[in-house]
Amino acid sequence: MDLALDKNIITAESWKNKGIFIPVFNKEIFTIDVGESEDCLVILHGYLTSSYDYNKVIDELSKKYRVIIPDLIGFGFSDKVFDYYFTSVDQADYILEFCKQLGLKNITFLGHDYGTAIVQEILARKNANVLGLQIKEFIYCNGNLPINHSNFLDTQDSLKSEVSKKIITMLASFGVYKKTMKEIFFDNDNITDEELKQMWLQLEYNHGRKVINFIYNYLRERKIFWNRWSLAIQETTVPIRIIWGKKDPLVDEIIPLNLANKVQANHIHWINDAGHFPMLEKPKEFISAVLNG
Amino acid sequence: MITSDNWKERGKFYTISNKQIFVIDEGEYAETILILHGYPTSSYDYSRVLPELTKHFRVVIHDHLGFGFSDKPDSLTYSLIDQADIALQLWNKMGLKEVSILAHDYGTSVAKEILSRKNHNLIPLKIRRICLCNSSMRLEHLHLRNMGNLLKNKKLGKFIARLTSNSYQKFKKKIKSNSLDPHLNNKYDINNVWDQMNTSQGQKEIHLLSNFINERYTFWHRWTEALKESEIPIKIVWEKNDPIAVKEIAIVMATENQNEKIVWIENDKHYSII
Repeated sequence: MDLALDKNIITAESWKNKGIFIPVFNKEIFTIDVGESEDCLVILHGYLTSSYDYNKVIDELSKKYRVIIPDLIGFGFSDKVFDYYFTSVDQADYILEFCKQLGLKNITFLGHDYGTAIVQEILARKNANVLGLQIKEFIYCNGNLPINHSNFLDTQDSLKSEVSKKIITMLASFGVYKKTMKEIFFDNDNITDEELKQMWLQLEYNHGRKVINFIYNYLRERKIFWNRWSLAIQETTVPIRIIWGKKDPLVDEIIPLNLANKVQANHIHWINDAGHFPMLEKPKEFISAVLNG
Repeated sequence: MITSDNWKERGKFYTISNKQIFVIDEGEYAETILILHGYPTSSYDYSRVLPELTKHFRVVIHDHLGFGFSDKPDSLTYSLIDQADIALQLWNKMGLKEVSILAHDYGTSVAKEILSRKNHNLIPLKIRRICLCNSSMRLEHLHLRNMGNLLKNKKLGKFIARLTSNSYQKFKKKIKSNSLDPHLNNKYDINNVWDQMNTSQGQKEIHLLSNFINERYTFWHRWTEALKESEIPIKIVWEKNDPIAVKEIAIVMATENQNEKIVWIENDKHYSII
């Protein structure tokens, strides 16, 4: 496919040049680290995508925060893992070591999609006092909640394989990927083919497409940790803020409404006319939501 | 014979994350062995070997949350990862700094999670050695592929049935009567999902049972890697001839059959010289 590159689009290549690789245990973690503030904003991106999701908001965010966005293991430019299921618990271990190595303090975690699960695992450890890390705040953005397995014990397998099949189809070619991604935007004019191509290139990087379909296992984890992760966000003393793309076809708006009821978060910052990726679709609104609480 | 009541009197309770955890702590030595018991038993498994062990070590055995005399919160499901958090908090509260860990069955999964954390620089506890006893590594394979055969197995059937009947059958029924939509799109369902969080409806049966086989499957790589990467000496006890029956039965039989018990004690002695 021949795509004329818009000058305003940040290419995958130039994004890569903006970051550094940080070795954590035996893996290389690609990291965007900008801003001078003592207040750290550690962003954990969602499933299938990468730190690149934040290319439109990072400049503004870094005026207030030191913004640190690792590509999670298996995503973007970070190491991919073969013949190995890298669990959310592993992701949490690596992120904790990563924060330790960078000496991060006053951390605000911003989790989006899959990233919210990793923050929930970190909060569970925090609640259990087995973690010496200062966490100032958790910003929860368009992510699903753990699955109550009493309701889904029998049905979860069909749910899981259905989602899994969908992902496999989606990853078959750039054409399908592009189409599927556009469907989860509120307005598919808010994301260009060129941008999606850059995201696709990162997905493809180092055979990532072959290893990324672990959604089946991830849904199983959401079920296993139903109680652990739900309690983690209910019992935590870390303040939680919710920022939500209101027209998300993947995660219903009942999720943030319930979340706001059950945790110490009484405010949902709705981003209207945005789907699953408010940071890409409505960058200005997203920035203001993060910066102004 | 030590009665259940005697055993309870010998231990004490620690409050961990607002839950009461029963702990046996005996022996006057500095060198400490921590024991993680198996499923679905308790610290009581060790009532017969404790007198011998305490001649050489300080021995700390706690009942996992949901087992023995520890709290059994009906409305909760908890994972092996939670059990690891509880053990770590308890040991920290007891001020233990340098230990050896002996784990059996279900406990070996908890031990492997602790080892993963250790390898990842997440815990200060110094672990001198780990002994994994009758680790049901193979059970999980068989369990997944060949449940029927296991249930038919005379010796194992009882044990396996206990693993499964409470959760699977009852929930099958429950699910059928509810006929829930598998999709998360429906608002009513999602409300339900969340609202059941703190109600105990239907949770009594599954709180211990339904998850851990799945968990071992999910964390297979994490925990195998933990064993591979560990710098801590690890001993894995593995029966040569009849891996499943002998080792899984050992746990159930430990207090029932004199011969099995003797084998068990000898193993225990042998490996816990650690």
